[in-house]
Amino acid sequence: MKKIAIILLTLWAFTACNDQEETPASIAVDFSFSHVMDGNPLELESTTFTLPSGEQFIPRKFKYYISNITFKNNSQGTSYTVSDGYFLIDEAGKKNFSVEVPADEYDQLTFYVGVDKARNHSTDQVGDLDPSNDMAWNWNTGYKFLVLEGEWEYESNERQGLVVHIGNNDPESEQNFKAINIDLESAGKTLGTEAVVDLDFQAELNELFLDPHELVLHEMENTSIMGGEWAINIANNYQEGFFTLQ
Amino acid sequence: MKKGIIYRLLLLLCPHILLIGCLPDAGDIQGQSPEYFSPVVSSSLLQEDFPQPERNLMSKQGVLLGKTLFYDPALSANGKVDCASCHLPQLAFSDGLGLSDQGVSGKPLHRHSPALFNMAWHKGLFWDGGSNNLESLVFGPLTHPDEMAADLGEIIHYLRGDEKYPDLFKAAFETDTITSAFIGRALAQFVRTLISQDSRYDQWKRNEVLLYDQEIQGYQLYRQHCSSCHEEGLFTDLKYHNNGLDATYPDPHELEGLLLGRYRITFDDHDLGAYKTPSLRNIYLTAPYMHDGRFETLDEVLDHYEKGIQHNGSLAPQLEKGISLTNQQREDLLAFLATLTDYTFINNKAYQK
Repeated sequence: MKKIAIILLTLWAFTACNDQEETPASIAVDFSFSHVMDGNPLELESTTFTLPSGEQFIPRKFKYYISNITFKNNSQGTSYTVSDGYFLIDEAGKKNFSVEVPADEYDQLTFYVGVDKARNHSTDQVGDLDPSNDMAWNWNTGYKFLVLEGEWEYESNERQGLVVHIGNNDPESEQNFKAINIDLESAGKTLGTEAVVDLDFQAELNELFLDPHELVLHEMENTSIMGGEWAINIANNYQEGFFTLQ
Repeated sequence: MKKGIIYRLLLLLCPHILLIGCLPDAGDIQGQSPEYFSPVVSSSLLQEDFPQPERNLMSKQGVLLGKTLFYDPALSANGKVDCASCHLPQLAFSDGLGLSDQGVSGKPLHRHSPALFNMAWHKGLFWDGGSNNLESLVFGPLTHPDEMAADLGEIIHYLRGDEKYPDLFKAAFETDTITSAFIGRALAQFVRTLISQDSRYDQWKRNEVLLYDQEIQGYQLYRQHCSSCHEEGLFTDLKYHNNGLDATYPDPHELEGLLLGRYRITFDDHDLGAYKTPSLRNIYLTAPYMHDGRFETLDEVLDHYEKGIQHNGSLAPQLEKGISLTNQQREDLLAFLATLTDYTFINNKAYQK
């Protein structure tokens, strides 16, 4: 009798121990972002790239906010949203961050480029939403969601500036605040059993200029894009095909 | 409702309600926790309470820090421009210029510097209401290349290394970390203390003085012709109207919709050419007039309302027929408007450097 009890107890302990190994209490998810143009690593200030429409382009600044990260387990119908997670990804600065999520077998990931209306309502904030990060508008309360600046040239004309500042969730909350949906399962990245997971994203800047809206700089009246139709077009461009999980 | 309770609590907690006239010197505040207060509000402002955001309640120490920052030209890129360069106390914190060129770049701005008083009650800041609160607003003038052109990172570096600021921040916010959010909060606290409520009009409303007959005639004319937008109390409805300055609104790409009025913020056709109603308080001090300072004198303003209104789809309905006044009525109205000048406010040493 006593023997059986000991065996049972041992078995139980063993199983419990196994359980702990298989399902960590939480998962540290390390996000990292790398940027390319036409497949070549993005370099600021130094390298001349060719845009899809044929212009020569020297990028000077590229940064954007990632927020509202949600992991989903579709088979269980469960999900987890990282609260207060606003991360600035800057080609000239930090390109990674880490979040802690409760353990679950997540197969879908959604994050947004930009800042939701509730947080965008005030620029009086700290963390990556600190206005000193040079992403706050100065005439409107709120943040730029994505910034690309540089100089372009076409067929031996004079160099001109390209200024893309996108960020507006008025009057409709979804206007430039775009959800990026990632199928973790099909990328072979299902979460669940490991305590640390790396998610390495690559963003192809050509996609900002293509699909569904082709941006031809030398045909534009002005290449300072801070609102209006083109800001919406570019936001639609980065929603589709811009980020890929490596 | 919730706010109201908090202010009442604050009033109870403060052993003596602070009048704005008695702010401490830097030496007095070290080692104390922030002393929160709510200013006394004159009944003539017709406001029930003094609104303050819960995350940034006003303290003596916070206001002192805000005032120090307000008058510090070291916050600007060239070390020569402070907030008071465009907001002079003697002009009710306006600047007397149409489109100021007093900023770092020397280029004229696109909008007229607004006067700063009774800002606590404003729900939208800037002429088009683009900014939602004072805490967020301050980053506009601080960082705009044609205004103070500050690099917030450099400002923070300067403030951290300064001999007085770390103590001022500690006293105001009980923090050793100086961040841009605290700069915004301190400046907002100081600006909220700029309350104009002691003009002859206010004294009259409080039964402390009498107005002359002509001024009372003018008051009746104001009630009849002006008060639907310049609501009594604050003398603004804090709303946005197209008052018929222009028939059409150009939209050059580089100005980012700047000439469209509040439409730039709301994308609502009714807001085309609409700008925030300025207060009539201190109107004799805040010339020139309109969002772009296009009218030098009050007579030009009244001329505009009489025969200059441009009609289009977003024109404020109250102005469809303009405002016609006889010469005598015009003089009476101007006499009343003069009673709104608040000399106590512009001479209040607590607001000055």
